[in-house]
Amino acid sequence: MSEIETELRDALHAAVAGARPPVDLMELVHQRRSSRRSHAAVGTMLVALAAAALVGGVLGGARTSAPREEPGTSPGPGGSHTRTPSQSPFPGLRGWVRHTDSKGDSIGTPATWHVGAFPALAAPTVLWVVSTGPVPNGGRCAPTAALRKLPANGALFEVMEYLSLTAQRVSEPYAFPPRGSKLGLGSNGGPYECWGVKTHLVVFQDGGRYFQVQTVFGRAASAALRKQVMRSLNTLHVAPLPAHEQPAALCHSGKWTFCSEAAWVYQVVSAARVTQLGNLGTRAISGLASNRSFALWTTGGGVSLTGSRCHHVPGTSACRVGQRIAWRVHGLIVWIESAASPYSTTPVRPGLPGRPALKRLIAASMRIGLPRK
Amino acid sequence: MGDDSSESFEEFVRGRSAYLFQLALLLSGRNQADAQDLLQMALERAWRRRRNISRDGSPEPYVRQTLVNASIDRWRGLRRRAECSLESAEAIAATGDPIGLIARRDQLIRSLGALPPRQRAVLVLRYWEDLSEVETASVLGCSVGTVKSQASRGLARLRELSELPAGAAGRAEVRNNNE
Repeated sequence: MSEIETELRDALHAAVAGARPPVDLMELVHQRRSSRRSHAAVGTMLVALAAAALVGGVLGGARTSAPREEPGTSPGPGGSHTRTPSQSPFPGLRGWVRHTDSKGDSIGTPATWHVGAFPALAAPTVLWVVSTGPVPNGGRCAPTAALRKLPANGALFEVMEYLSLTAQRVSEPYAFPPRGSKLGLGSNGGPYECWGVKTHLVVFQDGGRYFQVQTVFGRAASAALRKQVMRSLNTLHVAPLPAHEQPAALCHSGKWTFCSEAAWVYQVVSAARVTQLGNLGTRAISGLASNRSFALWTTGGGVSLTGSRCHHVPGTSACRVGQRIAWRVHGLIVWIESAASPYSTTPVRPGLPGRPALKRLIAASMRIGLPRK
Repeated sequence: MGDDSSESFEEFVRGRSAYLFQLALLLSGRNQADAQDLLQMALERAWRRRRNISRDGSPEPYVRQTLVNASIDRWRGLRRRAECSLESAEAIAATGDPIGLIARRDQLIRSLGALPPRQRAVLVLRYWEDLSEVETASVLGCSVGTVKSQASRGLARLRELSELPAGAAGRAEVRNNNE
């Protein structure tokens, strides 16, 4: 076998390793059959809806990384959606209990609070709904029945995990910062999809898994209750994925969007006020500025850029390399290339960013340091 | 629909969904939306013929063939496709550099996406599916000679696209520092 054949074989296997369909394929078949009379392309609609929700989320400031699915469409690799937590006293916290589910994930709460699972969503998966009030089942894609029962002086939060809505487990892993030493509530924004009310929202990754927490306080909730909610959130313990499923391993296997460099590019894009349009699979983040969509990614700095069309900018040189723009920063090379939007519904045209957006991107890349690996 | 053929077909789809999706992804140039459309089209077609298919054994060969043919027909019917730049700026990876390796593989896959659909299908079947030339010819409904020539042309084009544009005038040059 020639070198190119070997390389191609490796590249093909790496390109789709672990990829799983985002929805139950039989559902697609049945949907297409039921809509054949109206000639609706359900698959395209699903993707368009997903894209619209994602773009809407990005443009609207929401951080939901994927549209929500109802059960029966995609169980994801996490398996069961029905979680039956067990309770035990929480060591060191009198009056608190620890709720542990079958996967080994746990959270501590005051014993008087109510904890329920919310099985009406398949993706993302709801791990816990915790409220100072009752937690009845109900709600299409948010715990709205529990919200309705929330006392004015109460609090409710939901912990969700993003599972395999896309082939790479989560569509935008770089948008989830590593969980810090202290988990906060996040900013209060919205009203968010499904909830219909403003919520605090925070996203993070822990143990190779991707989480989102949304919290609502009653209008008369006390500062002490807020502290208790934060304390409860910080008792959240999640079972880590095996090493080979951790982001570092996925990065090493060729899925760039799982690399820490992708998280850095995401920060740079945000700081440069460039709209993030999702990504092009696992190879690049897609950006949008002045109605032009483009791809951004990094490679190692082990190559030299020598071109006749390099322009000095403070701290580096931006080079035109064929159809691409590249510059060196923090030992990496950042690449930008014209690329169609990943969302066919987004009315933009592929193109390189204009000079102002490019300057902002370069400046932000110089300013923002690479995350520690 | 609770007959045996329905159940076995659903069982096949659920059991092989990852494989089918991966194949569709490669055939569609790694475009998830297109892959999903392709799968939907192919599976729905297979579902309608499930009774006949199940009489012949596993639905997999039929579904694979439908998927491959649908991918070729689909691109044939499209008037215009998004152009992919195939500049090979970061083609040479630094040895042992995983990011460089990623870039190299990425470029190969992107180059693959730029090949004519039949050539792409031949390469996917030969090098991802590991089908023999005879098996590939059977899936594509063409001669072994055609498979050979398509594979040869496809590989040559990939080699061409992924090589450094040495001495390309007016173009930035990218060199490996380690050289």
